[in-house]
Amino acid sequence: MEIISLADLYSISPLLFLTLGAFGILIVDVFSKESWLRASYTSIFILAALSFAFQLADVAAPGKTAFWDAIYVDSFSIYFQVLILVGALLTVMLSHGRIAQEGVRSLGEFYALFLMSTIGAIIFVSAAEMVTLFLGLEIMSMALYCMCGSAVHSKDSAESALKYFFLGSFSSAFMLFGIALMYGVSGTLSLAESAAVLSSSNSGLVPIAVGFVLIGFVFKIGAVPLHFWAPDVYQGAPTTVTAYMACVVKAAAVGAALRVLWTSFGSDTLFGIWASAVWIIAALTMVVGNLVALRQRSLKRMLAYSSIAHAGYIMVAFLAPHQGGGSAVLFYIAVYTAMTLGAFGVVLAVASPHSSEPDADDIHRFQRLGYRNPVLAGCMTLFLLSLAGLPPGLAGLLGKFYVFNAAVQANYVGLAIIGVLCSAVSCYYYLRVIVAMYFIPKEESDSDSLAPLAPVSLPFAGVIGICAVAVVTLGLFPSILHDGAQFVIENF
Amino acid sequence: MENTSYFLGIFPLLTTMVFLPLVGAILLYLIPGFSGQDEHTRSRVTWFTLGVSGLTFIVSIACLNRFDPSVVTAQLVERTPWIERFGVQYYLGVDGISILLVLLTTFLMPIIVLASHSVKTNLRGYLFHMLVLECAMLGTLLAFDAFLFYVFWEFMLFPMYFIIGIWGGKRRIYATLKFVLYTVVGSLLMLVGLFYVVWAYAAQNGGEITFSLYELSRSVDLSLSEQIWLFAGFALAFGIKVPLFPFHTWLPDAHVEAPTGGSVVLAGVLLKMGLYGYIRYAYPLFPQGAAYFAPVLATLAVIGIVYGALVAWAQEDIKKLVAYSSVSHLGYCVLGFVAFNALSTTGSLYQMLNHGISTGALFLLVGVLYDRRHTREISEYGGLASKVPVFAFLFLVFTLSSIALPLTNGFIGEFLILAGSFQEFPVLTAFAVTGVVLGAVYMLTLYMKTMFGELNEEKNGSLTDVTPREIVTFAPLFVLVFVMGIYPQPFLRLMEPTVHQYIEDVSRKMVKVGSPIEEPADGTSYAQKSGGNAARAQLAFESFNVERVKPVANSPLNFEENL
Repeated sequence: MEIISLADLYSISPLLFLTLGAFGILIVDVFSKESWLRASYTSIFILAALSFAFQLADVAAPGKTAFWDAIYVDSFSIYFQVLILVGALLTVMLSHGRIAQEGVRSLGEFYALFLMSTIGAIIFVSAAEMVTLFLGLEIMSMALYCMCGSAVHSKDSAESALKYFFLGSFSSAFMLFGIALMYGVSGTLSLAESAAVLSSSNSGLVPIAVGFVLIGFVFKIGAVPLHFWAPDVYQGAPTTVTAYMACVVKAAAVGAALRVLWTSFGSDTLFGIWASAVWIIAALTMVVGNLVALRQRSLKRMLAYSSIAHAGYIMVAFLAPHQGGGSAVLFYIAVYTAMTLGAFGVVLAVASPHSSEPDADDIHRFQRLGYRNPVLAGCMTLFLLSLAGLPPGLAGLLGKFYVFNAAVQANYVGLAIIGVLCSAVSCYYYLRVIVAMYFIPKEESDSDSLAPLAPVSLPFAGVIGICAVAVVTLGLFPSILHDGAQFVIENF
Repeated sequence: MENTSYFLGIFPLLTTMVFLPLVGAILLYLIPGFSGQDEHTRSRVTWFTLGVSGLTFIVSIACLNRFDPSVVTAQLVERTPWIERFGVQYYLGVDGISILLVLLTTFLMPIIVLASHSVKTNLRGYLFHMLVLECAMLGTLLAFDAFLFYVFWEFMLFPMYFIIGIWGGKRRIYATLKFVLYTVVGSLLMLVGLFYVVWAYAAQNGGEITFSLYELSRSVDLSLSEQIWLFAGFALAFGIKVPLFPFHTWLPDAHVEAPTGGSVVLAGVLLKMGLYGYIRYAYPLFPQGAAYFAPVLATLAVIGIVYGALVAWAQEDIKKLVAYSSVSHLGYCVLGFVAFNALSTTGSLYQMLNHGISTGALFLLVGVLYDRRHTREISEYGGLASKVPVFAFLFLVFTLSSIALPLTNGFIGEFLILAGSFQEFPVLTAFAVTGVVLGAVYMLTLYMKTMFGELNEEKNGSLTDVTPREIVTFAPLFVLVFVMGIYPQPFLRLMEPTVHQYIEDVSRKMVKVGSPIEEPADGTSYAQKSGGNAARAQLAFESFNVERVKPVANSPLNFEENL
């Protein structure tokens, strides 16, 4: 037990590769200033990590832990590792050639931070005890704060970083306090072991601990009422970072929240404590996210609010642990990642490269995109319809199908009704982009005054294409992914 | 021969019919020769689309050929699991209720394609969306799995959204967003209701999940209050689509802003989907809820009939007038169905076809005028009959069909509906009859103002009569008006057995022993009452049939004598 076994190392091999990459790139940075080199270097390490994550599936077993019970090696953590790594890979492809234009100077450091943040996200979702969980959260967040502010000469970027840092530290402190209380009550930091103690304890501290931990997660997921940071941070940060936060970080937070809520707080008594809170949070998140998104002109901001709204849908399924809610969450978060990353890809391709312009990603830049670049507009239409849950965007519709189906089965009909009504509201702002892309006649559009669209670079086309294929495939054959998700939850 | 019939037996006719238009639509964008904007390319694109929609029509005729009217359940069934864990299937079938609507859809589409030459910009995109729409509509009509139905139902929005949004009039963006949002709100609530039903079914059947319509409606057991709530949810979704009276406001906007083809398909098929949803889903799933709400629906339908007619009368825009007349006509269809006896329901189904033909043709005619003069104001026209006699003649025929003159198709439908509904809702039907009169008033006023009198506008002097191409467009509709008006038997025979069985099945479940609803004051139970109605309806139905030797004397249903 004293020395680290090979099996232990193997079980964290994705993390090792990412760490290696993070340090290595700082050295590469010294010798070469080529942007593509650094991006592809980063991608290679992510790919290596990804392949090892797939390998880990063979050794995974329900409840199996490694590193003295610090991290889980089960299918749940591997599912999220793969999701995070795929998301990170696509984000790197989106970053190539783009972040430099958005004002990021030191690319080597950026990619190093990027990899570290991904490391944090993976630790966050696979943590088996509270301190590791917190470490993961902090590694992820610290790197993110810096990434938000990496456009050093942009005021927005600095504002975004500072806001995120202050609010994020605050919420982390809450979470840490919750963890401390948990430890105080149960005497253990292990997620699994604390469950039994917490559920049998009648200490008044338990609800407080649950509440504080929940606050930390609600903040990271970006759910109402702790969502105020999201739009400003999302808008100010370089768009690549925004896409990363909206997809990868959100996926990690959802995974970790699901793990803690269902493992440590999973007993019936504790479920009663947090269920009503999550009910209210989910309802508020769906309502506020969608209503505020209605008024946005900036596409980045719109996607930010839409990501808040989708967090709400996902949280609905938290309430149905025994009714298929778990696989619904896993399916939804994967589909959501594909749709949102694809949409961000299109926004990046269309928006002005100089994000300092006040209307860099304003909706009017999308005017007549359907005629200026039909393929790009077609993909965007697919992503938007999928986000709205309208066929032919079947993947998004099926995501909602699983989520609300689970909610109805768990007898949360009211919440499901709120959810679908909100999703009807969301059609308005998603369709508005389609209006701009297709319905504005030449005479009324100001697209002529805009700079002509730059040709879409290969990595961008790759990201958009991969996401579009994923959305179509998951829409037609949802069972491919959902059966896997079901397996993961059965081995939770 | 043996081999051929075996091949036909396994050949997925319905899937071919549904997805042929979609494949054609995709090919429109894949075939390189179709990308230009010149006249030559336009005609090539039109011919190609005409070919695809014509082929779809031929496939639907093949379905008709293999359709056996005496079988009362779904035929030509194709089912494979889609989302296995939740019992969602890809489950297509056709029965006596849907077969004619399917034919109407495939029949109208080539006509719409022919009429699309007035689309000046991006004809390829327009035809693409039309074909996608055809796929969605056929899927909706043929789906026997509730979730598959829902998917196709929502899928109908996307092409229509584009058709109105790109090729529509000045206020198209407002109109199209309104159209989508209205529909989405209703249908998403329906989705939640559907989940509720499925889980109730699962709880009662040992956890087995299915979305199959037949299995759900056969064995799900819901309490009265559940049925009332769920029916309300479904009724809202379908009522918006019909549209029933308070939810109809999207329709005039959508119709007025839509391009001609869009209006035709909207009036011709899309509006029927609402009522089709009632027939296929809301009633069989929640019979007691349906019985509870029947008076409400009937009242709304009658309000729609009278209100729609009155508002139509007041319109100054021809297209808006026809749009409001749709509200009125659809009111008849709903009334006929809600009265729920074999006679009125058959009439309702028949009237859906009639409305598709006559109103579709009227929208096409308005389109013809609009192409030439670019205005739809009634006051801009006058005395056209002398200038464009053929046009005036066609307009007259379809006007008469719309106001249900005997010998035209409209008469059969309205007659069956009113005769059938009178047995259930005598007072309401009396009000509904005023709609017939009002219908004549507004349509004939329109005809008089535009076609008769002096040629008042100079610009109308240069109007040209219908082109041969337009005559080809109108000819099939023209023929059908009279065929369906004079010899309805072949059409009625297709739906008759299914409708009978359907009415019997659903009305048997409308009241179960011991349920508290609708005990009539005179002491007879509701079951007796509805049984009595069913018997009477049966009698009336038979008296309507030609086979019957001697019609009942002095009966209002004495059809042949009236003819």
